[in-house]
Amino acid sequence: MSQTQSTQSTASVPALEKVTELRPYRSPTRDIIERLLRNNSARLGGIIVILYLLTAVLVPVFDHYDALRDRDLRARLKAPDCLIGWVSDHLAGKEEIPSLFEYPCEHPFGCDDLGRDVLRRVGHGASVSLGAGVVAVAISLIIGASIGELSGFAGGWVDSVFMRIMDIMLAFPTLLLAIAIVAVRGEGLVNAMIAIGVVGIPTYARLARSMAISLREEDFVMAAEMVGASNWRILRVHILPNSLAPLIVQSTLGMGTAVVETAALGFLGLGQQPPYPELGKMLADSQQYLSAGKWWAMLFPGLAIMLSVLGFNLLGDGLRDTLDPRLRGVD
Amino acid sequence: MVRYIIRRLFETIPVLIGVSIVVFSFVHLIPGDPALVMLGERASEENVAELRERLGLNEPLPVQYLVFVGNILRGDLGRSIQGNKPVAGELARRFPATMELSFISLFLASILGIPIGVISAVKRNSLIDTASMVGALVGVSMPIFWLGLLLIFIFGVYLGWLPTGGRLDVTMDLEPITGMYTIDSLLRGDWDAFGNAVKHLVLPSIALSTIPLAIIARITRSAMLEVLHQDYIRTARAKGLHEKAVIFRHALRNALLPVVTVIGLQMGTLLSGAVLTETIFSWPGIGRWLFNSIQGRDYPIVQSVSLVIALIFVLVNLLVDLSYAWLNPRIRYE
Repeated sequence: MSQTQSTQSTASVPALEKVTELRPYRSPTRDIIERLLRNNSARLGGIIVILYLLTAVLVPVFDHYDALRDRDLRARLKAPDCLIGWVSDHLAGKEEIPSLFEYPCEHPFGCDDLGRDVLRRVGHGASVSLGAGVVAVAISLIIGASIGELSGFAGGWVDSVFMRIMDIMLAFPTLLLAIAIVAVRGEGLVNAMIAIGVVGIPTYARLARSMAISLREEDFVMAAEMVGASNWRILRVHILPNSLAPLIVQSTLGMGTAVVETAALGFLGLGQQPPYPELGKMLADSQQYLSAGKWWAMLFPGLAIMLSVLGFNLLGDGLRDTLDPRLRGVD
Repeated sequence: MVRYIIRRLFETIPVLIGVSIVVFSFVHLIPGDPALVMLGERASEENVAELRERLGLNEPLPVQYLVFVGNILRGDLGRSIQGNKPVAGELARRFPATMELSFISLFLASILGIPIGVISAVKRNSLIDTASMVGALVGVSMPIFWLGLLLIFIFGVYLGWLPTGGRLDVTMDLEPITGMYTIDSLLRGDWDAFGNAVKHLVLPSIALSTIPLAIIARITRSAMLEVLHQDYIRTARAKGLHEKAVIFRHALRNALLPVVTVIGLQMGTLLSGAVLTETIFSWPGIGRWLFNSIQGRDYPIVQSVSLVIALIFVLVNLLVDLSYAWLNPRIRYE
């Protein structure tokens, strides 16, 4: 046995040297960024997410929108003009269509039943979704990760009590629990954000707990314990920073879920209340005139939700491939 | 295995108690006087007092909870505020509609998702693989309510091929047996009604099955990829087995384990999705009933529907765990 070990160790020494020669030291952050940039899914997701963030942040800065006064009955259910209008005129085989440069360009995504510009409302709706997503994920992450780290690190009855509470929350389908919470506490964006944040807590708690449990057994944590570091210090300095990677991945994927859940609650009339723009509510309103063939107020808000969720999912997948060492090199 | 089942059943009890406490607390989390909220601002004081009495809100909380649990165990889910009808009866009447839609959606998602996943894994990095995985990613990211509206517009309004709401044409009549119209029409030998019921099912079930389909395809692909790298697959190939036999008899059978789990867990997605899908397609199941009850502030219905959905979810999770332990001995001996 010992002979085998020594043979292995002597054999691995030159191999190690070779590796060190080939790969000079690079900072972990730079390493991660380089790997992220090489990952197709992360690149595409990153571009979509950046565009979404820019839209959501810049639209309210450059366009002051007064939802209470925004209505133009002359433009009621006006079809999209600009490129989309020009293309659909061609598809419909209309005669004497002006060239694309001369084609009117007031409402590129058309108007809704109150003559409100759909493009403008989609832009402002995107900021509402982003804000709601960030708040909801922050609630889930902060509370969930704290519960999970504490449970995993403390073990014993603390762990049992917290995890049973999480099990009970997981006994409800998430969206349904969110619907129930808002139904009880009252409609509105704030309650919707809180509800979505609360139903996300168990996912983060379980993830953080599993990380804390595995880290608790690591040599550096035991060493810290032996030199007399307090539990609080071990949690803060050793366990939390080392469990960040999976939590970051989960938060990115969670943003997608939060955006779609905010829209779902809005669609059911439980989220942002009219006349303020919110993508889900816009979709719900568009149902009234969908049967009359007015498709634009339905198409664009939905597309915006789908693209933003797709962006976060792609970025999350890419981040997972990059940050999770177990998956590295699988593909 | 029996010991594992008993242990798992015992573990479910605290969860069920917790679920009952959560559902019970719904009424008590309402800001202000629940009776006043349910009846509206213009309700007379006598009516509010009467409702408080009827719901037992004047009793101490522990007594209220015990009465609540006792009633559930006897199958009494209370009476609705609007219409004053027994909730259990109404629930039983609407439940088959939701089950029919959920089962068909899960069936669609499985029979399409598994082959897509298998083909993607076998033809890894091919055009088919890339296309189906991009499709699956779009499917996972697609808001179900938007997909529903798109389907209504394309197939109902623009092409006019399929009905966009309800379970049967209004001119058609079908005496229910099981409450699932496709089965009832077959049992009665009414082919017209069967065709009509299927036509009404197409759009809502496509909408509801998209997310589970995408998830099942992705899981099948990754499970197959993992299995295809195993030694026994190499052995099977080495001994000259036909590729089809290797894939279906050796690889797929072993890859199905996580797939079965995921299919079971999709029940939660389906039940949540049912609220949205049923609302869009005017499907008279418990999802739409829940939505209408929330708008009407009919909390006994909200409580009952949430409770039933949570119970189904817990039960399905339990069955998934048990089937998984049955299929994989390593779990039950842990």
